[in-house]
Amino acid sequence: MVRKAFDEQLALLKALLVKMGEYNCEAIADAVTALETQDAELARKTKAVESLVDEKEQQIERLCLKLILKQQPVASDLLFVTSAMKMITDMERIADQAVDISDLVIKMSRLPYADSLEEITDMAERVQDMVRKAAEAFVETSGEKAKEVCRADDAVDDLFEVVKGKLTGIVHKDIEEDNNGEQALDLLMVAKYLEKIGDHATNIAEWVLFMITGEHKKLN
Amino acid sequence: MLFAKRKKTSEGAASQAARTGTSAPVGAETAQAEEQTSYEGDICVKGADLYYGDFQALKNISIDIPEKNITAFIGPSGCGKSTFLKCFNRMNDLVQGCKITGEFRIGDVDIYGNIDVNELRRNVGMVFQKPNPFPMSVYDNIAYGPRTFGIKKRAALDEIVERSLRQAAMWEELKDRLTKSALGLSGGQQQRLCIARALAVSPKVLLMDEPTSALDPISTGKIEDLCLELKQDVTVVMVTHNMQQAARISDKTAFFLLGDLIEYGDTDEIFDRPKNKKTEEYITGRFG
Repeated sequence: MVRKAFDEQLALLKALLVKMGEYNCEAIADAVTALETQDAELARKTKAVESLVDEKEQQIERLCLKLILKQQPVASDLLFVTSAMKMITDMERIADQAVDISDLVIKMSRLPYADSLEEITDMAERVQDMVRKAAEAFVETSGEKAKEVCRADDAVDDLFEVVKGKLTGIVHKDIEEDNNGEQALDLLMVAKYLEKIGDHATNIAEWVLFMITGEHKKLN
Repeated sequence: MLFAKRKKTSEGAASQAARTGTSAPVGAETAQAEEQTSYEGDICVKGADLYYGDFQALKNISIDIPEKNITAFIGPSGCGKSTFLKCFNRMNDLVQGCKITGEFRIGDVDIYGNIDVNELRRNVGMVFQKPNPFPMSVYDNIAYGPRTFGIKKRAALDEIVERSLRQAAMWEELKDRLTKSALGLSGGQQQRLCIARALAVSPKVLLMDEPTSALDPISTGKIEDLCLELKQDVTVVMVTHNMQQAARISDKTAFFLLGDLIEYGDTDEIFDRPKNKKTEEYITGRFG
């Protein structure tokens, strides 16, 4: 086979991206489960997973630069390498936000929640699904799955607005009762981080579409 | 205007001979002047076939090459790209047994019709893989073409030599060495001198057959920069095996394989999103 070494390096790049995607899903799953169960111990574990994500990001970045320098990729190879470099930025941010959620979970773990978390849990399930599906779209080179991810972001944005409305009401009530409304604001932050994770999953899906079509379009 | 447009000649033994590769009587092309023609404009080829004896080297090629652009021909060895390039100044006329059919136009000139081949070659210059300066001074190399076309006055030749060397970005480095032998120049300088020599007769088209494959990266860079400057005035058509070079400097790229034109389009498109799988395999280095 011509360019065997290059093909092996591209396969390695793909394997590293898949692994980084798995760590990402694990970080969100841990953060969300910790949130739902108020499990501070599990929340702390997210940090360890996030450092694995960071490690993979640096590894992939180095490999991409090496491939550009040594192999001068063109056409589909170039699209693959450039989209990999763009995707890892969003993947790294997702892991950061999982840690941000976990930090709030640890802070809120001693008191019962001021809200039922129904919409926040719904948001969490949806963004987890988006991140998982974006990774699958990449592995399977599936434009259809990537588009599904982009479409799913609207529901997450809508849920955030619902959560914001409910929590604003709780903050008002807290203040009337001489409470500072801090927990409601923390939960609002959690919802915002989840909403941002949805945005990053959408970005990843857009880079998957770029890898397939060569065109980068903002789909959400 | 130093080089007046020559006049079109009628279909004669020469153009007939050009299509069949037989030798033509000397001066047959220049006889029977008719009307004015212009080589300014796009290069248009329709349904071109080329045979070396029984072997078909080019198969039904149609292509429109825009003027004042750089167009790169890429493809594996033996794909027909150099053969096709040589059709534009009828270099293949010199090949015994070579037969060409189809339509070739440069500007409004049917180059296999009733034309003066010397005039064609003045308008369509060529630079080869290996620098080939004449064994004479730098000045005489540049002045050779203009002298052939009847320019004898020293002042006019001085002006052409300076203009051509400036166009080839060599005037500053060679202005004090004009009387020195061109063979004493470095490989890169010799190649740029050959480009200056081609420019001396004010061509409309410059054909380049792997012009940098024998040069170091610095000389290659200078020639690439030069091509980008030249395309303001001249149509450049270049055969190259260097994919990065094609991607760097050309506006259009044509991929040839086994005598077929597989894909032709904007260079950015070809190197980002080639439409044909064979193009993709070739430019990504997975062909073979």
